[in-house]
Amino acid sequence: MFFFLFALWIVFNGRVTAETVLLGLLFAAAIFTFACRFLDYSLAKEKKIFILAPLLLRYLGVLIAEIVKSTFTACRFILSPSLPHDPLICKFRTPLKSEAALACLANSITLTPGTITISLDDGLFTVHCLDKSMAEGIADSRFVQLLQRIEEVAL
Amino acid sequence: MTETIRFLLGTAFILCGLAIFIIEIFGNYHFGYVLNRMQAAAIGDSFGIVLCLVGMMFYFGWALAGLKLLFVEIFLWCSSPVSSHLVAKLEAETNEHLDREVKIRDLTEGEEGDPCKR
Repeated sequence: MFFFLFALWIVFNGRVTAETVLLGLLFAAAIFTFACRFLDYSLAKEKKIFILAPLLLRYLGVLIAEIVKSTFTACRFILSPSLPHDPLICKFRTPLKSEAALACLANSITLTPGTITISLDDGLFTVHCLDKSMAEGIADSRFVQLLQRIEEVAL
Repeated sequence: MTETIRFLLGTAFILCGLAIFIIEIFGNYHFGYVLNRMQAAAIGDSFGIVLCLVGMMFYFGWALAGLKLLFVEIFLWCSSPVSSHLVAKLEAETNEHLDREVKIRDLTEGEEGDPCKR
């Protein structure tokens, strides 16, 4: 988070000088200290993000690949009026335990065109799919498998 | 030469993004039900906008403006699913005849496997 805040400061400033860098370090440190004290952040959690970085990057890659793939599938349904589509609302549970992983999965499902997370209550996902083919293996998708591995490493 | 390649790549990405947005608009009129229309809108929200922003990043080159656009993409990818989820939840909770519009399958009722094959 510290590095993210510092990068944000530099980007918003638009120029890299000694003054902006020093002030950025100071403000990023101040906000990070505040977050550690009041928002349940800690240095240990920050270290974990570095350990998880390869898995998180892999997750991002899978997400981008799924978005591209689903975009073409959804475009096919839109551009081919003769192609029948059978919308479906599907309810399922996943083996994921942490709230962060569940929220991440819900957001990834919604980001992927053709599927929208309607609700997530106590680990129960309610997802709308543009066609029933898009619900195939949704409860055990690559997202779920990767998030499970991330949970194993993080916990 | 580099400038020309950057211009061509940027233009290609922006044109692809525009094509996605046109398909999205067409999909909004093509589908009749709100949740299906949202799926069409999601195409532009998640992929169309990214293609346009990547195209603009090529125009700006290796500069802070490109990094700003990257932050815009990250922000959009974090915030867009939340608003979509809220609209979808509103429809699901207020439509008393949701089952007339769309099939509902519950995978948690002891049946294992693929929802499509039942």
